[in-house]
Amino acid sequence: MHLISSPMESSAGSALVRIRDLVYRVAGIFQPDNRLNFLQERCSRRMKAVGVPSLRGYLERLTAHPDRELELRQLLNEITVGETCFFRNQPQIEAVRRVVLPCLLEAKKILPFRNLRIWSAGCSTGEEPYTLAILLLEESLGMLKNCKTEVIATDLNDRSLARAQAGVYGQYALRNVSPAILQKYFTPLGDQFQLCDEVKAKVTFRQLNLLDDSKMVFMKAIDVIFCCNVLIYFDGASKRRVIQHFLNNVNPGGYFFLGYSESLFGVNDDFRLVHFPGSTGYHKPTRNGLVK
Amino acid sequence: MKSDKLTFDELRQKISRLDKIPSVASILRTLLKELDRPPDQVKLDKVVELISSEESMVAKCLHLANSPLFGQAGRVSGIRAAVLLLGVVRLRDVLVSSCLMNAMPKFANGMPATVFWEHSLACALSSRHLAKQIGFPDADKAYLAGLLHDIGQIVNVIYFPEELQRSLAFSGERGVPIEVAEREIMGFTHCETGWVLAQEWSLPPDVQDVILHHHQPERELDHADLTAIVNLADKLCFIGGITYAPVYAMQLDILDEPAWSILLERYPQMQTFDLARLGFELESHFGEVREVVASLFRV
Repeated sequence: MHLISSPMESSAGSALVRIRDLVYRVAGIFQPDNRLNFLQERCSRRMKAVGVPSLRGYLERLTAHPDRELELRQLLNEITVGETCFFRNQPQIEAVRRVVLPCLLEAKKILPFRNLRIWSAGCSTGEEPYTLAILLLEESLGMLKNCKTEVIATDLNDRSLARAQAGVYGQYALRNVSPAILQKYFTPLGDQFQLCDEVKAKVTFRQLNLLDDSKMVFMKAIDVIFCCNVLIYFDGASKRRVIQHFLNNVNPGGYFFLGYSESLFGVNDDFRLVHFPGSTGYHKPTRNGLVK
Repeated sequence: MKSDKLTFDELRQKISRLDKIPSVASILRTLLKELDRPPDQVKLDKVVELISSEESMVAKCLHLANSPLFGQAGRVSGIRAAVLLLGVVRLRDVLVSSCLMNAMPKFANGMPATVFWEHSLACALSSRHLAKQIGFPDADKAYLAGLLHDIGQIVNVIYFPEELQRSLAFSGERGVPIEVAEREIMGFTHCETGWVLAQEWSLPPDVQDVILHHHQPERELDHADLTAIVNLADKLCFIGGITYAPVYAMQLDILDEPAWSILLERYPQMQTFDLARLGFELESHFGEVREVVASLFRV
């Protein structure tokens, strides 16, 4: 692209673009041109930590050094650090509320008992599944009336799960929560906030390794899967294996969401990329191949 | 012209008879003609003279030429320098962009010039980006076609402001595309009024084709690729929220789009196209476009 940008013209810039492309190729998370400064800043944190003075040297560290895999992991941590919070990706939440839920409910219209299962795979400390639970509760008297809903939340890490189940959050995790929602579903607890039982009851937490085939096959009849900033740490083969599971876990016509600027390109073609206003997701075609 | 539906010929007559489109259009016509020649035959003095004759254009042109979108950050100090530094194709992009900005009334009801211009510029950049990615041979033509695809809205803002407002409202309330709302409310769309203006401005035939058909990219068009590119770019701008039309709840599956099939027939390598990456890259352009337009409209 000749449109921009000053950093790309220098040799450090070209190293940065190569790091960007490497991260995308290996981890599936893309930093477009307007995020190159962000990427550069995250790289320089790591460069300081490992004592590499130039981007070119750091690129070498990521490609030719014996510790390259570990270093890439560290860089990915830097790229995604601090991202977890309630209502993190607003356009994505809006897409679920305005497009995905109405679509799923329309398809379930003919069923005598309607239920809806959302799975937060790699839920970390619980911000994502609780956000989804709040969304479901907010719609429970509206479009979700007469529909049984549940959120399943899994993570590999026991300590994260324990913190999630406690449901106590600081202001940073709640920075995107509107005052009305905060008042409705949280109570102050010292300088933190305790999530109310109504929301907690909506979420079932389980310890799960996404690579454990024997357990993955039992995740059935899911309508929507969220798996944000988890697959970036998996190698290509593991990624393909997990996505194949997800594809089996999710109902025909169901949806799959990744984290901000994550992509399934080159991993799986069976999930179809779909655009929503301001965000993207993936859709599992229904059996007759019709997507809409 | 309230609720009466006009035939296409009547529409054409009505717009041709009136002459409310800003005078800058006449410069545009001459400029495009001049800049459409092979690069070595372009008379640069004539181009400089033409631009300099319209004061409001000089400022916009320089500002645009110096914006990061055109890669000449802060180096262009005069029209002559702009002509020399930018090169003929980039110059054409800057000039047509500036002309278009001047043609749109600044404070039109329901269609602020900034919003219209953001959409046009974003569609131009997205069209060029997509064209390059798929290997379409004339990416700069895609820019021009993307930039001008919605000029029908200039006509509609000036001649049919009330109907346009109602169409925008209808589109938002019913969750239907703007061209469907226009057809319902007015009996014609911005594609047709744009086509009339395109003829009036003597735009190149392929650009005219895009203007008339960008919401119906049929296979049998003479310029089906170019029209399909602008159609997809336009849709991605809409879903990305860089649009003058209300963004209603919807899901866009590019692979299901007729325009995608048209391009796939001609560019089989698109079978392995990274649509996710395209989305991230366009989003990055949208951010830039918003910044540039915000700074431009302070000029």
